[in-house]
Amino acid sequence: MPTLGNHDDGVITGGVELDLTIPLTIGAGSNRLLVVATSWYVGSSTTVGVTYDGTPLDLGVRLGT
Amino acid sequence: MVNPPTGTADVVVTWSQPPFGGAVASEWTGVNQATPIGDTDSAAEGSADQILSLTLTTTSGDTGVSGIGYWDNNTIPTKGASDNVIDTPTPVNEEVVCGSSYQNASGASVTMSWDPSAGAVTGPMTAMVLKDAAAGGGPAMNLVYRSIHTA
Repeated sequence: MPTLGNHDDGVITGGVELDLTIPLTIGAGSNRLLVVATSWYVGSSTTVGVTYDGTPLDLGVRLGT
Repeated sequence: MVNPPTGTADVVVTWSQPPFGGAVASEWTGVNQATPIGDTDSAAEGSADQILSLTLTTTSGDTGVSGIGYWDNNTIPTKGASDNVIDTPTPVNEEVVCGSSYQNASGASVTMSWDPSAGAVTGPMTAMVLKDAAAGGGPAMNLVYRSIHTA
């Protein structure tokens, strides 16, 4: 059974940010996977990029409409 | 990202034009590294009071993870009965936020859903299956997460 671990919430003020930054601490453990879910309100032509520690994440499972 | 390095670093989400948006980052262990993602699906933004629901193909030991967008002021959608909330930030000033949930699979499928507050709208909804490193009873998945959103 998955166990919920540490968490914190954060808020960026300003309303028109071009990016969000989430400080995240990856703990030890085998077979790790980082998952990022995003949702936003802008035009359908908008592109999105996600990185962790500067390394782009695979967007092959980008979903949504 | 498979096998992210241990330690503290930033997840950065960048859009090509200014959005109102949010993100939830979760970190799991016990995920199949060769084929980490199984079935996926998505649902468009619903109408007022419309429940969004997605059913994904699984095997026992997998975990479904969903993402949901919503924005109506001070409202939070309700997760499905079998789902577990990872995070559901409260939108203020009509900001768009992102919530997330997960569900452990004990059989051939999981159905995940989000029910908006009265009169509110949710969506789009996304969902995917994390494949267990040892299908049918491998090591437990654990997660840590942080969420953040524009205001």
